Amino acid sequence: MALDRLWTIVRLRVRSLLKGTALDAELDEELRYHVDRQTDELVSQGVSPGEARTMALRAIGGIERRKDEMRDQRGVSLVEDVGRDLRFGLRQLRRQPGFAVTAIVSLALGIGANTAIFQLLSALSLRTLPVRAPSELTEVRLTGDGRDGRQSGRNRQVSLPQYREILARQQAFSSMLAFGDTRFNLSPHGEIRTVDGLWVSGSFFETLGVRPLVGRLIGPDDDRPGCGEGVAVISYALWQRDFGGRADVVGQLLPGDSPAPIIGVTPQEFFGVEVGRQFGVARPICASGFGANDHWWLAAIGRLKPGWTRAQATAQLSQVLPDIQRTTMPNYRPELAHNYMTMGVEAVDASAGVSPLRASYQRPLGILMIISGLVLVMASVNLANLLLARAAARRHEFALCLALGGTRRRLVQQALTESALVAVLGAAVAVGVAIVFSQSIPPLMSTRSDRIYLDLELDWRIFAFTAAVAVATSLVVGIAPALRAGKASAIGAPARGSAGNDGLRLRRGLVALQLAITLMLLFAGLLFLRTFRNLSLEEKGLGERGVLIASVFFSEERLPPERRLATYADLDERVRTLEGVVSSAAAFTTPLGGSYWESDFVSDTNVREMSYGNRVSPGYFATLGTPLVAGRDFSDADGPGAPAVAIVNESLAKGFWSGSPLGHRFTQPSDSGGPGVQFEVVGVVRDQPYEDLRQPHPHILFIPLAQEPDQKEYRRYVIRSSRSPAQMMAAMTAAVDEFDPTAGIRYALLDTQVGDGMLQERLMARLSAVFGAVALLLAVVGLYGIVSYTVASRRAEIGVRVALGASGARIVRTILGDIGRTMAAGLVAGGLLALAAGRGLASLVYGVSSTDVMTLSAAAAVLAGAGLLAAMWPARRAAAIDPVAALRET
Amino acid sequence: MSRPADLVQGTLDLLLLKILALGPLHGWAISQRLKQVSDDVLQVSDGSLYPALHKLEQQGWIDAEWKPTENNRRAKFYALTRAGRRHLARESASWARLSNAISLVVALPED
Repeated sequence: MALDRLWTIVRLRVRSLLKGTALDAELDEELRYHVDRQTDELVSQGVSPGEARTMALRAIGGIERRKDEMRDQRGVSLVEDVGRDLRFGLRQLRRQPGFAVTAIVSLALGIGANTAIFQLLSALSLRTLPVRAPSELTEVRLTGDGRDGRQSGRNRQVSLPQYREILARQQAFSSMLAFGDTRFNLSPHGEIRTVDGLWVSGSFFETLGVRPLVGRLIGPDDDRPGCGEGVAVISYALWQRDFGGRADVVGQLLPGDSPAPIIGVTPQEFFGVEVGRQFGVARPICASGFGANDHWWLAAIGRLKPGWTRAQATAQLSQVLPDIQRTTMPNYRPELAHNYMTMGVEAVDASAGVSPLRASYQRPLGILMIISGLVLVMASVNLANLLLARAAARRHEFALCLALGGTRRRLVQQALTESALVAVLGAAVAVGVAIVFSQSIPPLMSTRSDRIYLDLELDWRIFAFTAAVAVATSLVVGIAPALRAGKASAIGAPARGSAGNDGLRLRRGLVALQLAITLMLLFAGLLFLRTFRNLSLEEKGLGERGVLIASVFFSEERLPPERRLATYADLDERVRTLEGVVSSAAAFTTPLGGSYWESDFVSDTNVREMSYGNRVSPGYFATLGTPLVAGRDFSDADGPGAPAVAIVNESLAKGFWSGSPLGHRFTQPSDSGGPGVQFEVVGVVRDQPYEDLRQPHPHILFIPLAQEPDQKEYRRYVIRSSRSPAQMMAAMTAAVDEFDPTAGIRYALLDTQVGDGMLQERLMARLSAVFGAVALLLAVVGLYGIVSYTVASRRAEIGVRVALGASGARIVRTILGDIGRTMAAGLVAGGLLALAAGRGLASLVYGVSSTDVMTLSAAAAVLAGAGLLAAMWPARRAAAIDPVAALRET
Repeated sequence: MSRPADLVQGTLDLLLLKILALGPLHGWAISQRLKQVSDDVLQVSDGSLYPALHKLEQQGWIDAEWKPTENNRRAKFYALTRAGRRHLARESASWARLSNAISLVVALPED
């Protein structure tokens, strides 16, 4: 084809698209000219002017039809049609803002929720680390239950000796790194200020391929045994926050407990290897002082050699694992040694970093993804229902279109364009919803002291996902009404007001489906709410609000062991008499406080059991609001030299003795094989949580803090006061300052400390409740819609009934009975689905069965009640129909 | 609706191009010229003339321009493009072949 011709064609098509109206005017003018000339010609031949014009017009055969034909010649009619459909659709939406808002908001909620949850999942598990060739990174994990001893940090995979052996014997990796997480106190004295920190091997930064932003990073020479405090590398964020981003930071000493010289700063995008965390300070492993065979605190990551797969790496590591285990065996008794030797090893993908957070949240987020997916289904069904109702209401219009020569294809196309329009608008709003929504979730996962950082910028994955969801939704939602529009018949359009059942069955089915899904979501929401409640403080034997926990740390030199008991007695007294203090006590640890004491005890009935222990001063239970069930609290008389006494919790009492435990004795066997200490039980208290809220009945025994021969260099107080926590902290800091200005203090609130243990439950409870409410709202809208539609289409019939003497109540009953069958079908189906789905939630609920029939009944009752209310409104309108008016309309 | 001489499919394009090869004309003049030159045998209905012209324009064979007419009104004048002239030459040749062939067949003696 000649180029100039191609150019002409393109130019004309573009002109047709851009100047459609101008072209139409041109067509008009051209045809008019023709008719005028033809008329003149005929007149000159002797025809009368009027007749001449008619003849000329007839010859050309209808100007409008010609114009249409010529438009088609322009070859852009599809584009123009879509454009016209879009304008028409927009006009329709503007004309019925109620429909538009309902449709767009339901879709936006559905798509937005999905995008947000997907975004979280993606941030947690799909994104790779910002380091060199992340796809080669592979974590070496040991499987099996062989780690007896000390475990610290979140990544307690291997001990240091194990890492060294793995490094020496592996063949799959070109290099390896190890790291453990910790916290560093950066405050020289007074209130303690900690930042997330890393203990890293000398190969850490080199293996990851991270380059320094300032100075240099930790290298192999920095991680040598006997390095003392070693050196420190700080993160970009810490550099900005604490050092004002100044270049002379290199060479300064790290403030706080560990005065190591700072040697460099990492780039801004590097957050460590653990997703959801941001390290502030990294120091070499040699400076940790750790390294015992029975201390688990490190994660080991290797960079896969070219040509090696993770399966081959696993195989090779499995071969050398027995040697590794034999060489690094702690001093275990036989059964523990056996466990240790039977551990397995696997090489797993670490391209997205390691993440205990991922492990603990992947399942809840997966379930939320399903829930939000169901909400999207609900939104789509609602939309389909609304569009179907509109299609039914517009049957007349469709029939008219067909009669005037419109094609079915055009009608279907128009209906599809309209639903696509709604989907696109919904998706646009959804992006906003998603941003707001996903920004509000990480705070639900974080606590004040334990921040979760997730990179939640919208990225292409999310956009692709939203777009896919929007397109799928538009197709699903558009198909039913479009087919209906295509089925419209030019002659079959029923008279206005008659009971057309067209599509009603389909719409009822959709409403039943909605009810079923809503019941499932409500059930899940209630289960998570009950779980959350079951873990709440009251349920857990902690009746008091606003208890402040203050831990005071002294240095060994300034407070030698022999002076501690007397000093602590003075400090106790000082705290007790602080202004506003209602009740205070000291304790070794607090519920979920992180410190931990577990030991074997033998009762006088010869039951031997592992139990948690705590050492507390008199008034501890009263301060926390834990009821004393029997016996007495400790008193000042239970001091050093007095008979050894103990208070036990109800669960422990039940485990050891059948009757009242008061007066019974038990023994803590000594490690050295001696007689051990014998305690007499003087009191019983309600159960408290110890280290994990979800542990149903931990066995705990309490002994007087004053009877502990080995007083620690720190003292932990629980304080209940009439003043605000901030005022109380200030008063406490001042009081401690008088005793020892170098002492460090850490504060916590018992409420938040315990609440932090319920993060996951809180997240699930809030989000599933929100989703359940959204689903309920959508279902109510759906029900209302179908009943209104039924009433409208049966107007004439109802008019006749009223005219024949049916009472209003009877009309309402008829309408409700009608919808009642749909509701019953939906509720039964939903109930069965909910019970089946409940099994999958078993591991996420606490204190309630995941197939609890009571909860299900409550959900069904809520739904049925809301549904009846939604149906009642239009039903009563039906009862108020004026028979004369209704009959006249037909 | 059979007309005296229904135009063979596609021949209208050829006729229009041929007429325009003589010089630019507007629609009405084209319809008049068509009647004249074919001795009123070929009557193209006014209705099909304009769509055909527009098709030719969209295909790039002819060009259109608004100009004043002899009676001082504005009309759309169509003219052959260079590509259209080449196209006309090709089409004329193939028409000649086709009509020759048909004449031969029609001239066959009947038994």
